[in-house]
Amino acid sequence: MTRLPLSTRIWQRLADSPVGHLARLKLGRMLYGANPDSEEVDSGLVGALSLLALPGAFLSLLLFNKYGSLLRFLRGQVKFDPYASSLPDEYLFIVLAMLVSGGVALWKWDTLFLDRRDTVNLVPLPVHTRQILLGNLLAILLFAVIFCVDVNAASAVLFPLVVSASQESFLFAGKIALGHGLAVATASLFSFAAVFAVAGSLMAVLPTRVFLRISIWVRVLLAMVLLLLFANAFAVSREIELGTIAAHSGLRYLPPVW
Amino acid sequence: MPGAVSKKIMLEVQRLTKRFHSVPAVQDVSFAITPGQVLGCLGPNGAGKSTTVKMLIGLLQPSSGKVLFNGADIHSDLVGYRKQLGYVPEEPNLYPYLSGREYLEMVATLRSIERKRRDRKIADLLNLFSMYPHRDAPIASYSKGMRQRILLIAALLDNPRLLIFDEPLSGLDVVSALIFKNLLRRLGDCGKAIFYCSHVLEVVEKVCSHLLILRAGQVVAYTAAAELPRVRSEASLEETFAHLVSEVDVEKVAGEIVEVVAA
Repeated sequence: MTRLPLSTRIWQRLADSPVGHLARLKLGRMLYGANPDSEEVDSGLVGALSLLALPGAFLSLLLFNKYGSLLRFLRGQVKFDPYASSLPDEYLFIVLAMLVSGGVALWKWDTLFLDRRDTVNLVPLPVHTRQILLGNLLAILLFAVIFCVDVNAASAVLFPLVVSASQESFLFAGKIALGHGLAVATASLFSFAAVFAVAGSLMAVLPTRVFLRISIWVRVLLAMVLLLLFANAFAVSREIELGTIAAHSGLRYLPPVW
Repeated sequence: MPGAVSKKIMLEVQRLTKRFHSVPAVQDVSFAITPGQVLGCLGPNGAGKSTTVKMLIGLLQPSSGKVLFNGADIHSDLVGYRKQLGYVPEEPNLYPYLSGREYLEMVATLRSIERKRRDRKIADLLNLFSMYPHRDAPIASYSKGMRQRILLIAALLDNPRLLIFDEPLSGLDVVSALIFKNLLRRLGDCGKAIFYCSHVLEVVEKVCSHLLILRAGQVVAYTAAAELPRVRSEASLEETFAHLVSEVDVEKVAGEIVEVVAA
């Protein structure tokens, strides 16, 4: 009998564990929408995924103007450092990734907690509350990963190709792709974790009733912070391009700049 | 303890009280269930039946009093207690995108039932509850009775020692209801302790060995079914129940409603 690879065995074990089942259950609830009797994947979700995939692709394509060798030659740009030049653009992709992952975490904030259906179905079963919470958190993380991949998929392919348009080495494109992938993935993870760190800290210090009451205001506040980051993204990107960011100490504290 | 039961008490409720914002929903409720006993819980709307059930399954913490399972407070090991518990809620509020089989597999996994035993048992029970042909259809397409049957299977899957049914007959067709009534008796014979909440007095009268009648959160009768003091010697359980819990003249109210409708 052939032995399955370790990663497959771990995955199978996780999928068949109580936490794996609970995560699948919660992920299903997120994908199938708010309608209590829906058996179809939420059409709003499909639409949102389609729309969110576009900005990364368009932004990458628009950057051909900047990195194309012919256009640079015509502009008289003889000295060109693609690494340094791609930093401000990378900043835009990082902000986009943070906005989407943070937005998803805020959108699905409530699903971390048990609702009426979970209470009736899961609470009478011999399951620890921490397992249910872990399953929910895992499901939200997977949900955020779906969005993160969706938002960054096009740019992960196009952006390295665009930046390395005038380079002869294929290795250069690989380095840019790796750096870009790591940057957007960690930015997404950071934003997602930050939202739940706020939720977790508030849950730990406040009584549940108070937390549920202020929950909506905290979400509005965090959404505004994310939107502010996005609104300033082009301005900060310009500052990075000009190399003047060090002078503005306030900008250095913006999470995407880190 | 009503009746001459010599068996060891499985579930014991001691002076259970639950207040919501100082308003008492359940007050000083005490009873016990031994293996093989089917305790029927009756009461009008707002009598405290659902609140009592929620405290029995550990969903609500009592304001005072205790629920003991085999002599230990259920809150000292809720997960261990729930391993021995099968519960059917009043509303079959299932996950619509799962199929009946997927839902039961999830319940079995969360109950740590071994995979091979799980698959065989689910197939057998689905077959016996006439759900096998619908096993892979999404629950969204099930009728209320079908969803109720899935919940019954889920409650019985791990062969629990204690069963709590909260209006399990709602939505069941006549044949399924008949099967269920017989099933209750057979489960009692197998030594299961059963707490059965219902509005259907006829079923309670036929199936339950003991009765607990609640009104406004308090126990108004707790006795062996055969020993329930009747209004008259030939009075039915329905008449006795109405006498115990009703504060209005039901016939008079019915007459007045007809008059208002006809006006």
